[in-house]
Amino acid sequence: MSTNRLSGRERGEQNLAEVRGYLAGLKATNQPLPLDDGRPNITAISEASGVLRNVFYTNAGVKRLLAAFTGSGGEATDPPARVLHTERQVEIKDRRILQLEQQLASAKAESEELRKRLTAALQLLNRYRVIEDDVLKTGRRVIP
Amino acid sequence: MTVSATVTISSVHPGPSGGAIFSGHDTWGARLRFVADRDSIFRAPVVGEVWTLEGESRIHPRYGDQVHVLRASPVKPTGKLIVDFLLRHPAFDGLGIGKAKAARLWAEFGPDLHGALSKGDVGRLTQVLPGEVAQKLVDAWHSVTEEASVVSFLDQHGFDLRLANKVRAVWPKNTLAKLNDNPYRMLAFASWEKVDRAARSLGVIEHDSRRHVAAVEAFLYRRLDAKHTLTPRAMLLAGVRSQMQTHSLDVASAAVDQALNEHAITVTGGSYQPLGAAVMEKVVASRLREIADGAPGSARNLFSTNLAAIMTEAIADLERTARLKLNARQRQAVEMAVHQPLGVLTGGAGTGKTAVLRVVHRIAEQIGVPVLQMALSGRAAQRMREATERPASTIAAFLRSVERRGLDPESEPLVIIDEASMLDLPLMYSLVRAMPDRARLLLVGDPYQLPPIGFGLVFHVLAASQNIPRIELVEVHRQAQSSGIPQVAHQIRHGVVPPLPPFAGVHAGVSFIEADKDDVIGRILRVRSEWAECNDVQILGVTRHGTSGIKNINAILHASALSCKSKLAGWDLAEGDPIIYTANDYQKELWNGSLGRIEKIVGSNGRQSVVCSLDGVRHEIPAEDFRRIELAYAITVHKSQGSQFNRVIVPIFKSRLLDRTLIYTALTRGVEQVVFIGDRNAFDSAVAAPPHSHERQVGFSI
Repeated sequence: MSTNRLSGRERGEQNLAEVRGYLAGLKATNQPLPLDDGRPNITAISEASGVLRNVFYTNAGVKRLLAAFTGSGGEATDPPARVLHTERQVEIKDRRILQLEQQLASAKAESEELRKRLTAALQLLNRYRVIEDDVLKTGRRVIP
Repeated sequence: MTVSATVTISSVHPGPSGGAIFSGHDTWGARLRFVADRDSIFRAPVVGEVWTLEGESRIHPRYGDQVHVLRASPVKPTGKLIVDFLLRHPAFDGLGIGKAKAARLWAEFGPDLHGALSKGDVGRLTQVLPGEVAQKLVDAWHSVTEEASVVSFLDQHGFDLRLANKVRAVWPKNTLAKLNDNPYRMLAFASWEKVDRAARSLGVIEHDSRRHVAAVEAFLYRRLDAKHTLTPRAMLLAGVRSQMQTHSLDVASAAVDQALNEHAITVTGGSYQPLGAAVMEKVVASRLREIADGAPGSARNLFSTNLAAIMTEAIADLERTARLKLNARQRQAVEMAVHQPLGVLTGGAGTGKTAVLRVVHRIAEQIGVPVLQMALSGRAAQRMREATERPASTIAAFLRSVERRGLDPESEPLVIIDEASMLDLPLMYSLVRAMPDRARLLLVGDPYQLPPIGFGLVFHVLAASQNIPRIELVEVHRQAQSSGIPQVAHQIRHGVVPPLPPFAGVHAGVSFIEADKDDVIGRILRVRSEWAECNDVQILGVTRHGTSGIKNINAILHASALSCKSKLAGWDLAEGDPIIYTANDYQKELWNGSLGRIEKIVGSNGRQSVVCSLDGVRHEIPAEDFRRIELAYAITVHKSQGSQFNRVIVPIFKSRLLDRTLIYTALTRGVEQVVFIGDRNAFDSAVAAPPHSHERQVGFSI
């Protein structure tokens, strides 16, 4: 309930705090940041930290925190040439992920709308069934 | 002691067939326990709801003080009861309103909370709740409290409170507003007198157009109750004037015009019909025409390959195995069933309709056409099953299976309906709608039997139509003829009063014992004692009530058979009693009209059940279904349709129900011997007069 009532800013700060806590935990237990092809594996980090994936692309504070952590922690040890190449790849991948996420969100909204319409249609069908049953039993008209 | 209370429901144990045992707390926190049967409460309460109840306080040996409910209805909670209502009613689950939030709502609004919720004041509620939750709360509140308003409306205007569920199912949104907008909406469920009284008390004036339209409809519904679907103009105008208590022909005429403009009624050939019946008749006629014509492009000629050879072989096969010879009409009937997508086969008892069906089954099996055969009553379906040695179901079971599982719309089955004279318009409508597009249909029956119990007339019209392929079997087979029953039946069906000899003990044939009403029971007992050694004896009554009605006969025969037999506590039923089941129970495969006998009463007081054999199958009937069992020493002629018995006794006295078709139906239920007991004049006049079915006015034609 309380989450529903947070403002966008409050939610952003909460996400930032959660990512900060997660990274601090890694440091404290001396665990590496999950990587994919030398770059932070956002999916794995999102699952482990409990913060939604898109936050890592949209929340500037979170992005900075993650960049600082990979820079200072020295987990990213790939040679610069490879990093450049990978960055491009990652950019494409991230764009694709973002695109897919948007498509998913739109499909979700569509499915919710369809579900609503289906429920309404079923209710209407049930109503007509009751009316038909009644007409069959008594022959009487039901004024809409 | 009479008790009235308003309580918040705290626990509920719904009964298996309506009614409930439940507890609640009143405003002072006192706990009360209630026992309600299905007649005193229209539905089981829900925990958290507030109900007002009236009843009698009685002491139960185990549970102590409890109120036996006489009247009960849910009410909108007011005051602080709302808090409990929001916390406990399942409609508010998932909104996140716990004790703290409910308390904050009460602290913020106090007694105004009721107003804020009822007015749907989402803006104010957001002082405590997030906007989305406030909206959901308002929606849920309206949904659960509208029922209370509807119940209060019904109660205030003297309607049966049990209509509440139906009314809300038909008008799920803004129910009360709709009822207030046009109180004549209630005419769908209640009598004109009651609805008109309610409407007038709500301010509807004498010449309001809503009243005019309703008066016209109400008269056509009255005609429908008398089984007519069509009403001539003069009769309608007279009826409307009487309904509206006006002498003005102009007012009645204007009312009819208004009803037509609103499409509440319709005109067929210059006469008038209520909309529902008119639609059903049109759908049945057009569907039957479609079947008769064959859907374009469909593979109609299923029986084409080597048809003649297959038919000849199937007939020869039956004649050989059953040792009978099909007559020319029977052969024509087989050809009709095979060649025509729609056919009507008529004939009285003993004319060999079953032999035709047996041949049709053989041919269909050869060609690979599935056959669905069915009848209205369980007994008729059972007889069909036994006679054809093929599966047969009741029509109700067929419709239910179609509703649940559906039929392959591409399938092209042959549907055979036996005892089709019993099908009323609504059932025929349901049936043609459930059949696949390319189904073939063979209707089998005897149009001289009673018309259907419900409104409309289909089979009788088809049997007289020149536009439908039909064959009437007239020749009675020698074996059936030997009883003498078919000859008497033949005379009666043509309005000829048959000479009937006096009763002479166990003897094949038909006889008449003249008797007064006071003497009829004594005569029945004497015949039964003369037939003591015979099995399958059935009394068929014309009416339920009166000296010669089945209720009286059953009570007397039950009492005389009681002696040392084990009796069912609280019910007029005992071991050995013949019984009839009076409802359709799909799970147990028991049908309204299933006949049998109580074999054993098991269990002790309060937890008894009845072991019985019904339609030849053993069943254990639990206490909650005892109300579905009636004594069947005597059953009505109407209920006996589709069944046959070796020996039949028919008490006959003057009655508005008595006519030629009823006597004919009763007579043809007997296989070996039939005895009429009663007023010979009543019998003679009923046979001579045209039957009631001829008077039934319907719009159906084909």
